[in-house]
Amino acid sequence: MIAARRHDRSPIARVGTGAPVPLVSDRVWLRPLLVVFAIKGALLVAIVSPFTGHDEVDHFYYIAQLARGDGLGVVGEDPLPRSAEPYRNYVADYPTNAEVIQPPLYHAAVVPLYWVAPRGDLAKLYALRGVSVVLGLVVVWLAYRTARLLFPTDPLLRAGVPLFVAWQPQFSFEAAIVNHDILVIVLFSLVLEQLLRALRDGLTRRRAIAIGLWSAAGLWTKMSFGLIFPVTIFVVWVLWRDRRASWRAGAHQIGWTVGLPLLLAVPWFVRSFALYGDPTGARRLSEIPEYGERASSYREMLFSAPFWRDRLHDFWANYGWRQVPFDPREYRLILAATVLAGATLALFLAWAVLRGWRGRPVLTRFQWRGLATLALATVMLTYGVLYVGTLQFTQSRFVFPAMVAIAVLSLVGVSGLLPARWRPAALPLLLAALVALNVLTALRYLIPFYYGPGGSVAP
Amino acid sequence: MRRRWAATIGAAVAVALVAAVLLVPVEVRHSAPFGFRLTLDDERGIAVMSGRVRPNYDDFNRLDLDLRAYIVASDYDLAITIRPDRRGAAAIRTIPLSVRGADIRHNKDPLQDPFLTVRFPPIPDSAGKRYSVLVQTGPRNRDDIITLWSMKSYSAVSGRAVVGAILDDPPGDVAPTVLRLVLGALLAGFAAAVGWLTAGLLSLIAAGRPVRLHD
Repeated sequence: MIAARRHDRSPIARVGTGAPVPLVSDRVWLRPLLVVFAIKGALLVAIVSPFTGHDEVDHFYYIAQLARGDGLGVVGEDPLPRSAEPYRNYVADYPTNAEVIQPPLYHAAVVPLYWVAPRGDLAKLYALRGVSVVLGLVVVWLAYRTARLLFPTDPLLRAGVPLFVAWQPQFSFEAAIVNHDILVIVLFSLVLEQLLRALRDGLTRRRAIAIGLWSAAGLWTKMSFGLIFPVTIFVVWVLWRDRRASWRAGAHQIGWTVGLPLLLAVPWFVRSFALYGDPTGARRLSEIPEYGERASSYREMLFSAPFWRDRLHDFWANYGWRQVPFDPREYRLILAATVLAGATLALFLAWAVLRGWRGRPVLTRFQWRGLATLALATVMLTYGVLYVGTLQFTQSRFVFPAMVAIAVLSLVGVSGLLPARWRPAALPLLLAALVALNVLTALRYLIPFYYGPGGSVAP
Repeated sequence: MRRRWAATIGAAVAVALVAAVLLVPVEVRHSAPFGFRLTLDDERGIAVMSGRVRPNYDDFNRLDLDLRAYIVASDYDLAITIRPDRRGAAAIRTIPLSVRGADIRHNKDPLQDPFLTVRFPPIPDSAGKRYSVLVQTGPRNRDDIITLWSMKSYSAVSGRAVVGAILDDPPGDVAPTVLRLVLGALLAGFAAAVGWLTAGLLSLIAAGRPVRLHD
């Protein structure tokens, strides 16, 4: 653990043999990874037909509404402009804008860009999509920071985690359309990284306030950000137990990390309660025809194999408001990879526990706690997917704020079970698989959906 | 020296990626919401034995059919006929198909891939044209009921044709030439960046040493 701390603060890391390895060498692959993500994002911005991202019409016109100074709006009462008519199939509650139910931070933050972007909805849409690419880059960078924090000397995890995030097809799609979800992913990844840092270095008041403020920003972007709070409370509890601190000290830390953001979000809770009779407004969405009708129960979802199959499908790719899925062959390969990742994770954890009992630990206490934190974050967001499913039809993208956590959990078992000398060699294989998946599916499904005579389902 | 090797391999990967994308044939799925054309009218309970497809690429060569049989015990001799969607047009492809009733049962397992793939010699100049697809039963199954619930269609083309489709009809209202140049540069940049990334990862591998997770 002490070694890990040293690694992160100095450009020189010490590996098992004690020989120094410069961490600056990560630049040799991190720079091109960020460049390739930016180019891939720009290509997706261009390829994906305008306004065909999920809820993109609503989010765009929410921004336009704020830019015009027309206020926040009310669900069911805010008509979309006539220019949205050609895209009505991509709107949840046409002819009104259902996304005005969302807190306005993302939308307000991009208003200045909306003002300065060239005239015309199309030009402004592409400019705003560019913001999503930049936010996606931040997530890839945070994925690297998180992996390096937890496993500073393991090249497969240090490079594999950001690779996984950067090439995950649906995350790239999310980072190429106008939607507040990409900002939620950035903020969630940032808070998770800060929580892990707190686990390693301690939770100073400054860090606690920072976590609180980032969480407040998350709540002002999307109410589901509140699913981070059980994770935050877990970390604060672990640290409080370690220090054997007083109840008062623990309460202070909970106050800064959880109380502060909740307090800062009170105005939005009150507004939602006044308008929709519930502080998050979520229940109002179940009244949208076709959406609410597809609501289900926890039991039905949990024990439905087709439900989980569909979640796997749209976790990996269901471009263009779910209209552009892969074919079963690709999904079968993805299922095989998922089973492999799950099985290796379970095996590795069992082996690590066994080794720990025998006094030959495989993971440090910090790494155990870090993995538990990431797992809890994933579980909380999966619960979020199920909760939405009780109100309306649900989608896997609601778990995307845990993308970095999922990447770590997907790779840690493989990395832990591979003989150490083979571990780095897995990187080119991982890259080849991810490039092949992205390129082949773009050629086979995504581009043909929009281009070619008779293509372009959207107007 | 290691870095030079890594750079050489990276450059080779970039060139190979461009060559593979442009030259290797791929089966592209034609444009349709959710990937398929629905022929079943579930709300009114109407199922039919035919449907229409509109390939958006040349060399239309494959159909994936969601067939449903109501007498599961039978084996089915079928003929799939494809003809241009205009009155009196002659069939241009007739594909015989033998299938077990159990494979196309009306109540397929929801976890099963419902589609049955049928390949045939490519139909050139198919892009943008409409075709009618008809499922006919053979003499053995004359009285059996079989229906077509939905279908997907595909073309076998080179990646160049797919990339060319964007460049021929670029999105947005910017001057097409400018947009083509930008898109072309992005595609080339993508391949170059993948090569650069490969070289970077190889450099990492060359620099690293075996480590344990908890080091």
